[in-house]
Amino acid sequence: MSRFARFAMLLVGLAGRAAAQQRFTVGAQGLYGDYRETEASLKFTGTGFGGSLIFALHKLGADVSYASIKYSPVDSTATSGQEFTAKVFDANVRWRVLGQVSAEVGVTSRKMDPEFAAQGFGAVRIGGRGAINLGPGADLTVRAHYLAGAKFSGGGTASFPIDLGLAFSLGRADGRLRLTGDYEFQSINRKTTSKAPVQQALLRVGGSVSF
Amino acid sequence: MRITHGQVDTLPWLDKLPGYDYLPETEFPPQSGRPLAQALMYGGAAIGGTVVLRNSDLGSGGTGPALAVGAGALISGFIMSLKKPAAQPARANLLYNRLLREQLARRNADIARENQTRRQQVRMTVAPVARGTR
Repeated sequence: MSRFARFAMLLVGLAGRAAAQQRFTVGAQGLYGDYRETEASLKFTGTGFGGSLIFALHKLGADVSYASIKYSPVDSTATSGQEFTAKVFDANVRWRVLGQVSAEVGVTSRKMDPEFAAQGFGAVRIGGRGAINLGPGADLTVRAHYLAGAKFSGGGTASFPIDLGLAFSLGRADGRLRLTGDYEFQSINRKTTSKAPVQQALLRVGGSVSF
Repeated sequence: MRITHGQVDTLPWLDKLPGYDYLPETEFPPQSGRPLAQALMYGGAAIGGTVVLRNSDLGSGGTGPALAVGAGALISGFIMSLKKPAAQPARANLLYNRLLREQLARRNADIARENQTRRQQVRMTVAPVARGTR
């Protein structure tokens, strides 16, 4: 057998083994959001839909998610409050560093439609997540990210924007079908000429399929 | 001439060591409240984190999503606390079975050697045969 044929067979063998260990998870969720900005009267709640794709191979993991939430002002008498749609995009890459704890980097982006109805936001995520197995068919995930280099559509800076998350999944022990719940809380102490904080709490409830 | 050999009385192979049985290599840990406690702890941390980090200028409330996911986590933990835990490898039994297998292999190797010696010690009989009786 030629050297090239042996090398090709080795590559096919390695690719086959990697393919057997990799896992894709596709999820769809219904969303509820609570968004606040600048002062207590600028409070919005809304619902929407989202989707996610998760990839895992050995210690490497990655996920991408997108959500669209239609927000309405809670206090309809607030003069500056108007309906808007938030389009939230997140992408993360992680590496398992110790047990079930992973170091993670990613990006987050929130675009508003109409553009200036609320603050558009983008940042780099730096943090970690921990996976806790509760038993066969149930898992918890906790995560915390520092949102570095925060940019706002209306300008301003933030000294220590932070994002916390808790997620659970419940279903088949092999993980193929799961009911999922995810909570994400962003607290951004934005400053312009004065304090103009931004805060968002997102609830995602849905299902996922792994293959 | 007629040449015949006697019967060889060889020793049988061993499938198991008499008096020693293999032990189960997995065991079910006892049910515990640990999953519920973990869910309570992490769910509490999420709600607590929200309360601590939320900006007072933006008003109170807004813990609904945290409470909802916390409740989901708690239900998951509760179900897992009631469920029979997954089988875990029994380390002591695995080591015991490995020792037993090694011992059995050693005994069978001894038997193979003994049988080889016995086959070499077989009695041969050489007898003259009368002409025409072959």
